Amino acid sequence: MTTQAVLVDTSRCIGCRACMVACKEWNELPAEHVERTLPGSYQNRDDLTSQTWTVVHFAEQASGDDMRWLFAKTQCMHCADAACVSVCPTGAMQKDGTLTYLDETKCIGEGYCVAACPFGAVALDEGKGIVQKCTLCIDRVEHGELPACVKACPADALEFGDRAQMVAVAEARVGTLKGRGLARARTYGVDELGGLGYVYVLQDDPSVYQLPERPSARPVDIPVQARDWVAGAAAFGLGAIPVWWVFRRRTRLASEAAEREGEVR
Amino acid sequence: MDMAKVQKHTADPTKIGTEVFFLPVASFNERAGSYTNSGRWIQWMEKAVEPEGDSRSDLWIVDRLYKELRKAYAGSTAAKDRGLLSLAWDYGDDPSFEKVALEINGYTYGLREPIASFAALRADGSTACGNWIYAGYFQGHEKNRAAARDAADPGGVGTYAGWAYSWPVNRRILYNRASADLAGKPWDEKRKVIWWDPQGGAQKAGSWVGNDVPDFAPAKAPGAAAKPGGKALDALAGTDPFIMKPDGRGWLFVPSGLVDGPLPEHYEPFESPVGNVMSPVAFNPVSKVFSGAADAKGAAGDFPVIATTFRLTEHYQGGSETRNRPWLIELQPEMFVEMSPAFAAKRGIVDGDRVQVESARGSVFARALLTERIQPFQVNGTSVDAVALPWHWGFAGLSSGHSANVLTASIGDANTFIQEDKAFLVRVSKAGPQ
Repeated sequence: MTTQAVLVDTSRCIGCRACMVACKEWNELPAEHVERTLPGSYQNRDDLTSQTWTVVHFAEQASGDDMRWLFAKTQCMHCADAACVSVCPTGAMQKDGTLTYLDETKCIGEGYCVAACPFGAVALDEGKGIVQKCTLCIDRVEHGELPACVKACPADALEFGDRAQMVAVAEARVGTLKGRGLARARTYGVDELGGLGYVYVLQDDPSVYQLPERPSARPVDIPVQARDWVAGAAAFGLGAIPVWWVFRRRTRLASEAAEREGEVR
Repeated sequence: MDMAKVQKHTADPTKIGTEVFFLPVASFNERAGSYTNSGRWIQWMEKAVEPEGDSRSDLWIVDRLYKELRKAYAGSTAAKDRGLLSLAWDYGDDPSFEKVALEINGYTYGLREPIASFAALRADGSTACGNWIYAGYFQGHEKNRAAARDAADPGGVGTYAGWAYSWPVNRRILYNRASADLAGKPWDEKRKVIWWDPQGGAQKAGSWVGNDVPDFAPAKAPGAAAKPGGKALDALAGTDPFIMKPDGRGWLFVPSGLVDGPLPEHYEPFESPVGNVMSPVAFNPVSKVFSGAADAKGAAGDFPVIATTFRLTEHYQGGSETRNRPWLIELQPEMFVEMSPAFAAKRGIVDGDRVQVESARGSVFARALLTERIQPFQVNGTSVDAVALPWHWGFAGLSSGHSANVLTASIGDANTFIQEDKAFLVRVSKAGPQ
């Protein structure tokens, strides 16, 4: 079972975006056409796509003669309470410890996860007909390597290790930053959504980094096919079936996860 | 060369006063070799990938060129050709970078044993050396000290003595005797470089020791006096760390060596919106100014805005490599000019507008990027607006754009002729669509 997490210390990030390039290089993702950077910024896009799994957010804070340039890498957060896993009708999106991963053989590209993700971190690849997102480089981690982004970071802003340890490091760093007078310094991801697989040290409020203050699963519009199916089922007096089905599936997934943990122990 | 004609492929080679050959050369990661940084580290690198197409390393090209020249001059008995025909040129059919490295390092004549340090060089013809400051860096494949990769930093001052090789003799910090006080004790216990150990040395008679190679006579104690009438290092006492100066002391007053000495002086840039408040002479009179169109001087009345050029993380130098990498273009896709929102408002410019920036030497078009990072200068009580442009773009490549260097003056500083590209005057206006 995956127990590790990535620590993102934004106070150390220099905004070089080596993580973005390393992610594309390892995962063989093509460059996307970008006409220009965002207005007034070096940030090249504000969304995650099926071909861009991580983006560094840039924020400029000016007050008088003081200027602060803040950076934060964003990607799939690997939530413990993962909305994408809950809403997936085929069980393609799964949890394995701290990791949220996609079984591409089961994904049918329905896109409930895309709509439900509170971080906009899952995107539909229309060419492949499946969704895509950060894999935590589990294919590297399984072989004892660091995730590509962590490996590439020249500023030690990214670290990878046992989640409990990353949380401890994050809390200690926040203490140091507060000691330097950064009153708004805080952690992010320690408890949000049951605890994220990316634990942050922020120098300011989450909103400054375009992170939701209190992330929660976004309401999912029932897609047309499902709605038709529900309507059809209701016409046959079977309206309760979908609800029953979702509950049954979630219970089954939970027991399967418990079994997997049991095997590891 | 008229760059506009080159760009439009309308230059007529027969009208150019010299003949120019373009040869397909391997890029830096398509060949072995070494890099020497401005911190004097010689860092060896291996070939990462094979060169594309029929391109070859610069060594291969020079090797073939020399061999052809030797053939052309074969049989000549003219004294002027003796040098070319007598060159020791033995790098193999597929020329070896290591053989070149060994030659630079130096070796004994005959046996070709590598020289361990420049102290072993002799003036009697028994040794050969390409460059004495490199002596010791490459003592054969197994002892290629430029390839050393120990990242330890025992002193905590960033010397990394086991990483690559720093010329000369792997010394990381020049004049490092100055890191210790007069008695030979480090000024700062947390940042120790070298210090005097009274029991140090093979004879335990005392020696300078520590985390760097001492840049000082190793056995000269801090209390040692200069020898009366002594020459070279003998003329210096144990408290004179600047051993390349005649008196062993650091100099603020420099009577020789600097063309604009003996004392530091403030001058304004070549183009400045203000006069020099420090002296009646505005601009350094011994700066190198070439009298061409690239050095035309603009007045603040015509060009009221201070401009500077800068680098981006994503692009390197002229961008010939990085502006052809899709992953990097995706991050920084195009040429732009940064300005403050307040200045932009004065010119009726909004973020994203196409803008013209002109100096006395040229004109570029770029997209406006509005940011509070750029602020007006407060100079002599006056507020002077400023803009900043990255200089990586050019007319060719996957991402092309105007080069900021057509705006800068090609003048050089007085001592080293390094270009003064970082401060110049421009005017800025909103341009129509392309």
